[in-house]
Amino acid sequence: MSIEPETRALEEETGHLDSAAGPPLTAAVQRGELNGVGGFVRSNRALAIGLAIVAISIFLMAFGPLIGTHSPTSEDFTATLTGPSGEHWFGTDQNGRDIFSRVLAAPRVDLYIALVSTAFAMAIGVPLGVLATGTSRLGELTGEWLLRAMDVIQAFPVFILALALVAGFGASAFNVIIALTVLQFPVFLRLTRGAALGIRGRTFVEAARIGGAGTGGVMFRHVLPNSVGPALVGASVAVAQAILITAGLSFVGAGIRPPTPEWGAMISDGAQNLITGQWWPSVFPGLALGIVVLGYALVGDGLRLYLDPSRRR
Amino acid sequence: MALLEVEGLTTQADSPRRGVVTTVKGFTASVGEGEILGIVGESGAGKTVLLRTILGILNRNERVAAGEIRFRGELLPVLDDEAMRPRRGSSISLIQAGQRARLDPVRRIGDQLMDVMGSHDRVPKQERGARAEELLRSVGIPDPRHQLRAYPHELSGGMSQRVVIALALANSPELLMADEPTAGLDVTIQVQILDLFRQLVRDTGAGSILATRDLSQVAHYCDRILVLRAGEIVEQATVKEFFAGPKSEYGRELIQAARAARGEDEEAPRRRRRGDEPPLLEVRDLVKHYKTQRHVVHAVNGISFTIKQGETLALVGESGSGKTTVGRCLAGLIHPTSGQITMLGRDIGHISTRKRSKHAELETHVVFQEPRESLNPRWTLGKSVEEPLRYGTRLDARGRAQRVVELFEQVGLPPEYADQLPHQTTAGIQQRVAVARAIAVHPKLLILDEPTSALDMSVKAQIVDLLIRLQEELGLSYLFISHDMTAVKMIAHQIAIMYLGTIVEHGPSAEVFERQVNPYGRALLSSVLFPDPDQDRSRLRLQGEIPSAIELPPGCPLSSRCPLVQPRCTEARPPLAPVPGMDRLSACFRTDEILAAGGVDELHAAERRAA
Amino acid sequence: MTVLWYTARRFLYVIPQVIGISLVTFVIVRLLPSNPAYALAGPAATQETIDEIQKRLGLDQPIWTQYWKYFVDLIHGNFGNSFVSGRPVLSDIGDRLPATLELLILGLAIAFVIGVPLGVLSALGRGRRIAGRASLGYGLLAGAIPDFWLGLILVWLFYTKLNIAPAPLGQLGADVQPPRNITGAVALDALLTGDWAALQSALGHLVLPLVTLVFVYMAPIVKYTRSSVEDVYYGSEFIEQYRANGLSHRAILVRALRNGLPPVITIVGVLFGFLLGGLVLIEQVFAWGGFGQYAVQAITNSDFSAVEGFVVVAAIFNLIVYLAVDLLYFFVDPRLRARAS
Repeated sequence: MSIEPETRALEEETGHLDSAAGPPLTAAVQRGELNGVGGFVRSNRALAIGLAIVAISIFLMAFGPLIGTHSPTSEDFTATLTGPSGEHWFGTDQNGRDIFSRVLAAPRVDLYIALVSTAFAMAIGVPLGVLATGTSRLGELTGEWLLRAMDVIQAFPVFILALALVAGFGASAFNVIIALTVLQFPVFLRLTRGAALGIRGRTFVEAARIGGAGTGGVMFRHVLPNSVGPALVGASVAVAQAILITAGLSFVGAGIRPPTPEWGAMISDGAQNLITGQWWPSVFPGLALGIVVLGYALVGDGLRLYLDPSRRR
Repeated sequence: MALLEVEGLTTQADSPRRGVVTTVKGFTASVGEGEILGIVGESGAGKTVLLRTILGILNRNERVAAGEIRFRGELLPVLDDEAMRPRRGSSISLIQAGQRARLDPVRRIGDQLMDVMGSHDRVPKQERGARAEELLRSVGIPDPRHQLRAYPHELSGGMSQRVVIALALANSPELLMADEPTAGLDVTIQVQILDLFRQLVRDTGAGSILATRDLSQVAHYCDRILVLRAGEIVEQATVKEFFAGPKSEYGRELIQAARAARGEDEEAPRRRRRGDEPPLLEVRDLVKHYKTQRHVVHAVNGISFTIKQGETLALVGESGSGKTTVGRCLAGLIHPTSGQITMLGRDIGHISTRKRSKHAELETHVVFQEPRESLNPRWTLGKSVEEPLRYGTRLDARGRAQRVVELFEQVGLPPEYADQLPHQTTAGIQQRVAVARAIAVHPKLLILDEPTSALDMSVKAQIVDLLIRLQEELGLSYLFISHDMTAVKMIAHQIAIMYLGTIVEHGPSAEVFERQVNPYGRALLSSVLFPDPDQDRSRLRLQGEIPSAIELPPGCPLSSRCPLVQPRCTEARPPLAPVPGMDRLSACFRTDEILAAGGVDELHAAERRAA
Repeated sequence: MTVLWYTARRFLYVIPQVIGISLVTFVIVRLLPSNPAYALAGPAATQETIDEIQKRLGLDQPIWTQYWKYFVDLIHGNFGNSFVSGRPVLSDIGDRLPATLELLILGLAIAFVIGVPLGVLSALGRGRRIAGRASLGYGLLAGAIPDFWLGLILVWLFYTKLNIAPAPLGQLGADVQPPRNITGAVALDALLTGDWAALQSALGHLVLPLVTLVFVYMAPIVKYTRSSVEDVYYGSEFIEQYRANGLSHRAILVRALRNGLPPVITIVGVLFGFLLGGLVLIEQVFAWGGFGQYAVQAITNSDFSAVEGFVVVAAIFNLIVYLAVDLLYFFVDPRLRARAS
C-alpha cells in the first residue's frame, strides 16, 4: 500500500507552490492541448497498457460474475483445496469454491467500492477546494477552517481511520465507501485548492476580471477548468489506493466478509494455506489485485505526463 | 594570430518535433586580444549555442556537424567534455543571464568562488581567500569581506549578476564571453554592469564576446559587430561602419526597428502635446500602501497627473517605482489607500472592475506584458476577445461574433485566427489579440503595462505602430507603463518619471528626452542606450542600488543615491513643482541651481571641480 | 537561535492540534454504535451484567462528564485503562510500540541507504534510459503489489518451499529465550545485553518483514530521488553555471544532490508517519505483535480507551516527524532560515 504516501507528497507539491523544494506540479503547465489525445496514447505504450487494464477491469465489474467457469459462491466440499486444473483453472479454496470465478467476480466489489468512493470524494473535494481559495474575508476564513479540518482528518493514520469507521458502523460495502470517501476527499480538496490558487493569480484571470467577470464567473469559466488536472491525476491514484485499502481491510477481517468474493478476503482466507503449501488461494487474487492497481497507476502517470508537456519523453 | 578563430562551424540539434535542426551554419569569425566582439541576433538565432559550443558544453541532443575552433592556434576538442573542462572557467569563461538563479542557493558566495578556483590550478591555494575578496571588490560589491559569507538570496539582482561576473573572472580568463548579461536588470543597473564588463576587459586585456538581443548595447560597448540570423552570419563589420551604413537588408531592418524612435527618422513623427482637449482622467494624491504581517510596502506615495482625451502618458521607472501599482489602481484591480481617481468627472477609485463594466465609458482595459500569459490557454483567441463583450455590451451571440471579426480586422489579423489556440501562434499575434480584447467595448482609456518588453525587436515596432494607429482612429487615451524607452519615445505625448512611488519629473515627451532637469530623470534617461555609437555618452551615475519600498529613505526618495544630495534633501520631500521657463514639473530642491548651471551634469561637474 | 525559537513555536502549535485530535477521536469513538460492554459480557449475558460492566467502565455517565474526565487524565499523562486487558493503555502501548519502531526505523533506514543511490544512478548514470525505465517499472510494480500479499509470498517461498526463513511467528523463535527487556525491541535488547542466541534468532525473524517493507516502500524514495535529482541536475541554471565554470562531474553531482534533497526528506517523513499505523498488515502476516495490530484489536473489541490512546500517540508521533522534517529543511536550505526569522 505504498500509494498513499505518494498522494500526500503530490499534495505537498501542488499545495506549497512556493516551497523551496522540488518541482512544482503547478497548473501553469496545463497548456490545454486537448488535441492530440489519441496521438499521445499511441506514443505512450505504458499508458495504453494501463487503459487496457482499466477497460478490462470495468468490464469485469459489470460482467465478472457471469463469465466465470463456475458460480463464484457455490461451495463444493468434495473438491476443497484442489490445485489448478482443467476443471478449476485457478484451483479451489478450502470451501471448494472455484477461485478463477471468484477472482473474476471480485471487481464488482473491489472496483465498485473504489470507483464510487473516489467519485464521491471528488464531488466533495474539488468544489470545496475551489471554494477554499476565497478572497473575500468570509471566503478566507472558511478556507482557513477547511484546511484545519483537513489537517485533523489527515493526521489520523489512514488505514486505522478506515478501520475505525468500518468497524464502528459495521462491515458492508456501503460503509467502506463512506470510510474511503472521508479518507480521500481531503486530498482532492488540497490538490484542487493548490491548482486554483496558482490559476487565480495568473494574468488571464486578471484580464477576465477587468472584462467584467465577477468572482463566480471567474471561478467557473477560468479557474475550475484549469484546475481540474491535478484532481484527475489524483483520481486514478485514489482509485488504486482505494482498491488496496479495501483489500487490506478485508485482510484483517474488517471489510468485506466471505462468501462475497473480494480479493483481500480471498488472500486472507488463503493465508494459512500458504504456509502449508497450497499457494493458489492467495496468489491468484493477489496477482489480479496487483495488475488492476497497476493499470490505474499507469493511467495516472500517463495523465500526469499528458498534462505536463515539459516532462514528455 | 587571433585569440579565437572559428571556421565553418555548423552545429545541429535533434528536436523531438522537428527532427534535425541546424542551429549554427558555416560560422566563421575571430576575436582578437583586448577586443570586444558583439554578436547580435533575435532569440533563437544561435548566439547561445555558439557560445556553449566554444566552451564545449553541448546538450545531449546537440552535436558539431562541421568546422573547427581554435584557441591561440590550438584546435579545441569541443566534443570531448573532459578535455575541455580545464579550459572552462579558467582560460575561457562565460557570463550568462539569470542573476540569482545562476548561483547555488544553498552555498555561500565565497565558497562558490573558492569552488571555481579550486577546480582549476591557476590560483595557488593559499591565495584563494584573498583573491575571492578582491574579486568581489573588483566587480563593485560593497563590503566584500562580509559578503563572502552571504547567501545568494540575500543579494539583489544586480549584485547577483556581479557575483556571476566575479565567478567568470576568478581564474583570469583570456577569453571572456557574455550571453545577455543584463537581461532582467533595471536600466540604470544595466549600464553599471556593462560599464563594469568593458572596464574589466580593458584592464585584463582579455578578448571578449558580448552576445545580446539589444543592438544598442553593441553600439556602445563593442568594437566589432556580427549579425546572426537563424544560425548564419548576415553581416560582419566594425561598429562604426555598421551603424554608418549596414550592408545587409537584415542589418538595415534591425537598425530601423531599434532606431525608429530616434526622432531624426522622418518616419516616426514626434508626438506633439494636444493643446486643448478636455481631460479624461485625473489622478490626485494617489497613495497605495500594502500591509503585510510584518511590514508595510509603500508602493505609491502621492501621485498626481492628468491624461487628456486622445493622449498618451508614459509612466516610466525602474523596479520599485510603483508604476505597475498605479496601473492596477487605475484599472480597478486594487483599491487605493487614499487619493482620488476621477474619470469624466466621476470618482472611480473605489469602483471595482466588475461594477465598471456597467458603464463602458468608465472602463479601463489593460494590455499586459506577457501576451501568452494574458490569454486563457484553453480558449480560442476569438473566445478571449469575445469575453468582455459578454459583460460590457448587450449584444447577442451573433452580434458578438460580428464584433469579434471587426476587432480582428482592426488589429490587422485575418479573422481566421479567431479559431486558433494561443500556443499555436506567435507572441506578436497574441499581443494583437490582447489589444483587440482591450478595445472591444470601446473604452476611452487603455492601460498598457509593459506591452512590448517581452517581444523581439521587430515585433515591438509593429505593436507600437498598431497602438498609435488605433489611438488616432479611435481617439483612445493611453497610460503607457514601460521601461522600454524606444517604445515610449514613439508613442508618448507626455512622460512622467517615477522613483520609489513618486513622480520626480513630468513633461512633454520629446522635450524630456531632449533634456532632463531632475537628477533621477537625468540618470535614467542618460542610461538608456540607443543604437547609435555616436550617442552622447555622458551619463549621470547613481551610486548603489534601488532601496526597498519597505524602508523609504527619509526626505527625498533619491537622497541615498543622488550625487547632488545635500542635507536638506533628507529632511523633507521636495514637492513636484513647475520648473521656471519650461513646460515641466520636477521634484528637486535644487532645480534653480540646476537651471543656472545649465543642466544636471553641469552642476555635478562643477561641484566635483570645486571639491 | 532562530532554530530554537522556531522549534518552540512549533511545539506550542502542536498542543492545540493534539487536543483537537483527541477530541475528534473521542467523539467518533464514543458515537460509534458498537458498545464494548456487549463484547465483554459475551452473548449470553443478562442485562444486569451488561449494566454492571458499563458502570465499571464509566460508560453510563453523560458524555460531557466522560470527556472531561478523559481530558483531565490525558493532561496528566493517564490514557486510561484498556477495557480488554485492564492494564493502563500507556503500558500496553509501551509493550507494542518498540517492536513496530524497530521494524520501521530499520526498514526506512535501509530503504533510504539503498534507494537514494539507486535514484541518483538512474537519473545520472550511464545507461540512463534503461535505468530510468527500470526504476519506473520497479516503482509501478512496488506500488501496485499489496504489501501483505508480498509478505505472504515471501513466506511461502522462503519458509514453506525453501525452508530458509524461520516461521512467521513473531520477533523471536519459539525455542529461544527472550532477552532482558530494556527497550521492548527484541533485536535491540538482544544486542544491548549481549545475548547472541537471541540476537541471531531475532535477526533471522527480521529478514522477511524487512525485505517486504523495503521492497514496497523503497519505491517512492527511488522515484522522488530520481525525479528531483534529474530536475536539479538538468534543469537548474546554477548547475549550468557550475558546468560552465569547469567544476568536475563529481563536484557538480554533490551540489546537485544537496539541492535535490528536500523532496526526498519529505517523502521519508511522509512514509514514517504513514507506516506507523500502516505496518499493521505486514505485522499481521508475521505476527509481529506491533503497534498497528494493537489498534486493530482495540477497534474490533471496541476498546475505547485503547483506540483513543493509540490515535493520540500516533498523532503526536506524526507531528514530531513533521517537525523533524521541517527542522531538517532548515539545515539544508538557508533560504528557509531567513524566512522564518
